[in-house]
Formats: sequence, C-alpha cells, structure tokens
Amino acid sequence: MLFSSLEFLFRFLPIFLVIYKFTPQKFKNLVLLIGSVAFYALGEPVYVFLILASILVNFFGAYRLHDLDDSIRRKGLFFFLMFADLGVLFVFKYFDFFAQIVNSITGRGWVPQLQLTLPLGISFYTFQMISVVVDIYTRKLEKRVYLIEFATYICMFPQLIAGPIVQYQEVACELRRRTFSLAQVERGLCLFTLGLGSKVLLANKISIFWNQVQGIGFANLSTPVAWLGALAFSFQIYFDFWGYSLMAMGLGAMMGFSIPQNFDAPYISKSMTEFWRRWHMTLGRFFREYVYIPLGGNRVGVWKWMRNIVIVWALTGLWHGASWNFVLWGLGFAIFLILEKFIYGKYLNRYPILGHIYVCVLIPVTWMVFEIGDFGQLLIYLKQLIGIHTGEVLVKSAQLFRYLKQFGWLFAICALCSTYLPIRLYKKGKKTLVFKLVCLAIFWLSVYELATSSNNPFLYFRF
Amino acid sequence: MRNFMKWIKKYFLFLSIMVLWIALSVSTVIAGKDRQIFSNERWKNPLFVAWFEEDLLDDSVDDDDKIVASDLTEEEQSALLAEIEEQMEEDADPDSAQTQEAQQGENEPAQVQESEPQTTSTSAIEQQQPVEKPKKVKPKYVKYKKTQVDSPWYSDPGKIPLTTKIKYSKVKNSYFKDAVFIGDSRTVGLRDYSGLEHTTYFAKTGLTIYNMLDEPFITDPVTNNKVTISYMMQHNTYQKIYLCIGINELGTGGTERFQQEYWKVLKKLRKWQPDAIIYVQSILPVSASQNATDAVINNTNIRDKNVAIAQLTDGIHIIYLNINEVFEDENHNLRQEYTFDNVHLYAQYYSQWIDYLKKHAVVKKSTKEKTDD
Repeated sequence: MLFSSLEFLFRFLPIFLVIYKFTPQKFKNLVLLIGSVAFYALGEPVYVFLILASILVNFFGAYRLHDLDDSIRRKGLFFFLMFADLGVLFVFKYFDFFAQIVNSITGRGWVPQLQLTLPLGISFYTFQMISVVVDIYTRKLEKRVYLIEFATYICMFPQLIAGPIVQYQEVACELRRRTFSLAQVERGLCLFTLGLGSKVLLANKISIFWNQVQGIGFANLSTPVAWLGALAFSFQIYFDFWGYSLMAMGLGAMMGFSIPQNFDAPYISKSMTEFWRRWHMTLGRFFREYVYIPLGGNRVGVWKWMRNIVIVWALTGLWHGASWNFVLWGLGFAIFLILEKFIYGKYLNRYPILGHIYVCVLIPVTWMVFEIGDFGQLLIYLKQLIGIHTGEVLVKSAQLFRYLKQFGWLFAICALCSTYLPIRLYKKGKKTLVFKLVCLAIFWLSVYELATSSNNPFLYFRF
Repeated sequence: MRNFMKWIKKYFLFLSIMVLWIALSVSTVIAGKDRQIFSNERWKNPLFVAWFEEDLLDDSVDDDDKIVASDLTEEEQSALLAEIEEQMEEDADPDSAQTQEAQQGENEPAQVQESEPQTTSTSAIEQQQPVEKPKKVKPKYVKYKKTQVDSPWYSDPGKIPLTTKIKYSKVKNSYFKDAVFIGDSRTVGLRDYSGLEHTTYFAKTGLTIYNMLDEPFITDPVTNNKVTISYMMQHNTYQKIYLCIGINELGTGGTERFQQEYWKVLKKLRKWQPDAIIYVQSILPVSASQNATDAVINNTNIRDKNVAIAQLTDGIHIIYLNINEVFEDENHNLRQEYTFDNVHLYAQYYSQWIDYLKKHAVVKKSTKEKTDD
C-alpha cells in the first residue's frame, strides 16, 4: 500500500489513528507494531514472515550482545548477526547479479539464478537493524533495548517501506514515552499533505513527460528534448523521494516521533560534495558512520582516503540496485568528489554561479546513468545530450513547442520548488491560516488526481 | 466565540479535511453516484471517488439494456448484421437516399449525384456504370481456436479480419494531401513521428468512438475557434478518411455497443463526405506482456472489436485495413521491441504504418491522380 493511495488515505490511516487514539499509553507501541505489520503484510503477504524472523534474530542477538563481555564471544556474535543480516539482503537482492558475474567470467552457467522477488523495504530495514547491532557492539547505545520497542522501531509504517533510515537513538525516548494530541496530528498532517502534493502533483505529473520521452525511443530524440527528459527525470525522482520522506515525517509527527529529515534542497548545491550532504541524508549518514569512519574516514593518507571514498560510493551505488549502471553511478560520484577535493572544489565555492551551473548540468546526466540500465541505450542518450544523433531525429521543433506548451509551467514550478523557497515558506507560515488553506487545496487536488487516474482501471488508460 | 474561532484556526487542516470528507461521501450517496463504483472495488475506494471520475458512458444506457456480444445468439448476431447490410445497400445506391440527404455544408461546389458519368473528379466509382450495382467485398478472416472468456466487455471472436482484398494502387505522399487521419493517441504518434506532413490530422489522446465527433479539440484554420470533427466534416471536403480508434473503449460498453456506435459514425461520415473513401484501420494490438496480464486491455478484446468493425466495411466506400500485419509477431501481439509502454510504438516505426497505407490505397478510376512529387 502506498501512502499516496486512496486506500491508505481514507481507509487505513483514519482507522489506525482512531484505534491508536483510544489505546492506553502502555499498549500504544504494540498497536503501532501490529498496525505496521498489517500494513506491510497487505503489500507483502509472503515476506512478512521474513521481516518478523529477522527482527527476532536481531533482537535476541542484540540482547545477548548487550550483556556479553567476553571480547571473543562478542566479536563472534556480532559477526554472526552481520552475516545473517547482510546475507539475507545479499540472497534476495544481489544473488542473481553475483550469479551473472560468475557465469560470465567462467563462461559457464554454473550458478543458477534464484529469481526471487525483492521483499518490500528490505534495503531500508536491514540497514536499520545493522545500525542497532553495531551501536550495541560499539557500546554507543548503552541502554538496553526491549523487544516491542525494537520491533516497533524497525516496523513502524511511516518509515518501513522507503522512509528515512532512522537511528534508534533518535526515537528511543519517544518509544518509551510520547503524547498523542490533536496539535500533533495537525502538524503532522501539514507535513504529510506537502509530501503528498510533492509526489502526486509534481513527481507523478512530470513522470508523464519522461515516459513520453522513453516512448519515443532514445535514438530519435532531438537534443533539447533529451535535455528536457533528463531534467524531467531529475525532478521526478527528487519530488517522489522527497515527497515520500515528508509523508513519513508527517505520519511520524502525528504519532509523536521525530523522524529525521532526508532532503535539504539538494538541487541548490554548488558541488557534488555538498549535493550528497543534502540528498538522502540518512543514507549518507549511515555510510559515513558505519563504513567511512570505521575505514578511517579522512584521517588517513591521501591514497587510503581515496580508497575509502571509492568503497563507500561503490556501495552506495550498489545499495540502490543490483546492476552495473548503479555501480557506475556511484563510482562517478567518487570521481567527482576526489576531483573536487584536490582540483576544482575551491573554485566552485568561490564562484557560486559556477557551482550552480556545474551541478545543474551534471546532476541530470548522472541521473540518466542511474535510470537507464542498458549500456547501449545509455550511450545513445548521453550522445544525444551533447548533440550526436544515433538515429533520425523524429522530434521536430513543432513537437518541442507542443511539449513546452504542455509541460513548461510544470517545469517552472518544479524548478521553483527545488529551491529553498518552499522550505522557507513552511518555516514562516506553518501556523497561519493561509498556509493551511494551501495545504487543504493541495490535499484535495492530490486526491482528485489519484481518483481520476488510478481508480477506474478503464479510465486510467488514456491512450 | 473568539476562543472557538481560535480553536478552528488551530486545528483547521484536520477539521476541514474531516468535514469535506464526510460532506463529499454523503453527497455521493445522495446523488446515487456511488453505484458507479464497481462493488468489488468499493472497499478500496472511498465513497466520493465517483464524483471525481469522468462520467462513464453507461450513464445513458441502463445496465439491463447493455447488449454484450456474448449475449446474442448466432441468429441474433446475423440478424443485426443483416440490418446493417441493408442500411449499407441503401447508402450505396446512387439513386437513393443519398441524393436526398444532401450535404449540410454550404461551401460545397456542385456535388449533385447524377447518374451520368461525370468527368469531374468527385464522382464515385459506381457511377461509371449506373446500371450495375458495385459488388461488395467483405474482409476475409483467419480463424483460430476460440477460448472461453469470462468478461462483460468482450468474447473471443475466434477469427482475425484481414485487409479487404480489392485492387489497390501504390501511391506517394501526395495521395494524402486531401486525406484526414482521425484517431486516438496512436494517430497522435502518426502525426508527430511518421514524417507525413501536408495532410490533416484530427487526433487526440483519449479519443473514443463515442466522443469522436463532438469533442471540440480542433483549431479551425479559418476562424481559429475550437471546433469538432463533425463541424470540420461539414465545412470541408476530404477524399480519404483514415480511422483508427477503439483502444480507449475496450472497457466501456461491450462489443455490440461499440459496433453500433462505430456504424453510426460511419453513416454520418458517409453522409457528410459521400465521395470519400473511408479506411477503417484495425485497432493496433498490445504487446505480449500486457496481453497476458490485463483482463480488459488485451488482444482478444481488441480482436473482438476489430471483427466487429470489419463487418461494417463494404469494400467500396468503406475499406478495412489490417494495419496489425506490420507490427505484430507470430502470436498476433505487438512486437515487444517496437514499444516502450506496451501500447504505443517507438517513434521510428510510424513511418512503416504510412508505407503500408501507401501500398493499400484506393485510387478512383475517374480521377486522374497526378503521380508526381
């Protein structure tokens, strides 16, 4: 079930909130846990048992780890838990990729492909489980963790499927004790509505353009349309993900949890280094704390630092998908980061306009590497961007003008919303009536969009 | 009172959403619109969704009146067809109702239908020999094994209609100068990517046989107003009309209703443009993956509709063109590599559509079609 669906908005959420309101304080976590498991099971009826099993294994392991003092035993248990968590992730997400690699190296089909479907949210909840286990092992998390709280932390539906990667310490106090008031609901609803609008009114709508570009065939695009397509996808992925994170924050806020921020206007960055401090911040935080810093971070020599960067970014790319183009995407950023550090980073900071142009031109290109899985097609597209046409250009200028007329306003709004403006407006106006009226409008417009595009399967397909 | 207003302002968003939700749901029930939501979807959809949806066509047709192809027996089906054939006979007769149903448009030059053969280019083929009635040519079919289909929208026709077998000429792009292409988003693709310019396109995404004639989406080059296809048909002359429509109607109305509506449209077009050749193009199929997973938008449904509209053609004024030949694979699905979204062609393949049309063009004997450029 998506947050941006009518079933969630008008069935699941109201029913859950009503039950949650009337649950006594000491059972609130349990109710949230059950509700979240139900939420997960609706979308993933089979693998719900996988997540429950992982939670139990990790909990009992972590519980034991907390008490264990013997350093060898601790290490052993720690590595066992890491192996279990990463192993499960590997099997479901990366095994077939690994099989492909081995088979193509050996030239034989020794390793069979498992063709397993990816369990919902596994990349996110696995990382959350790992973060807890590591923190207990390093004794950063000193307080004992209890089962219901741990399970609730992993499962809670605001962040279960695609939410920010929350650290246990961020919500530990709230898991113990929190309030539930109408003021919270109001505040959470504001955030949630903004996220909903971001996904439904911006991301979904601009994805129509990107789909049209894909439907033409990359070899027959014209260069302006290719750039518009890359720009459209850049907006799509941003507003989709940011919208979802905002909805997660809003839902968490309704129940009294402070779910961390995941995006901080990344498209106004002046360098790739800055971009990754503003994009998917909780993922960057995870890799920094659990991979980069343990490897030595930047307190090592130049070569080791570069090695650290390459490892972290290869893993970041790989986390996004089990395919070579994701690894390439990640490594591309590693290269940019290294170049920025040693060669031109200071110019980007000294001349902001240079930095902005640098980011605005290169980020859409990196998104194309991310999105286009087939290397042949990717090369065709990249060539289109610099004006080299592989096929006959079938998109004439009349068509370009038609696109601009149809989507121009949407691009403009997306560009505007990529700046700090919406964040500033929110901070200043979130308690005012005007702002709430805007949220109300966004809410019902989104509902309208969802209703007209997805409910009647016959009307949805407007060919 | 002041406190109450403050309270409202404090919780405004929550309260307003609640109030509007309840109000919309109540009004949906009162207006009786909730019946339109299919009952097995109702638990998923909040009550008021029906307000936001476009009006389903079946507003005008009671559920009981809806005839579905599978409801009719073979006898009834052939009776209906016979009725349609009679109609077509009447229309084909040069001395009959056609002359009485004179053109509505005022700026038509003398288009009086006389029995003597004329040397002007507007006489129809059959007026060469006014005594001899032209022979109707119905499309042939390729039969295959029918499957049981449990759907209110279609049944398996067990056959595929082929292009009408008459004598075609090979033409060049100039042939389309006085042609008009009417259709849905596939025809939009034709307009945008086929490279055929210097012709007329009345194409719109989402166009259906039901709203085709009355949807005001065309900019009249004369007045710059937004006009409908029926307007353009009554104020302009076209010698060839290419129709390609039907994919948006797969889930509304059933095959019988679709065929009736299509016939009504064909009749009107014949009335407004009696000299034009109407090419009924097959509804393009969807790809194998779409076909396998969709209960409504699949190729059996499309075939059912294609058979229905092929039956409306006569090989004289109304020709059936099986465009699908160009784009389908051995299993009569749209080739997967020709499409990105399983429904529309990649831009580069639209020119093949035009090539097919250029090989299957009807050229009137009395017309001296210039074969230059």
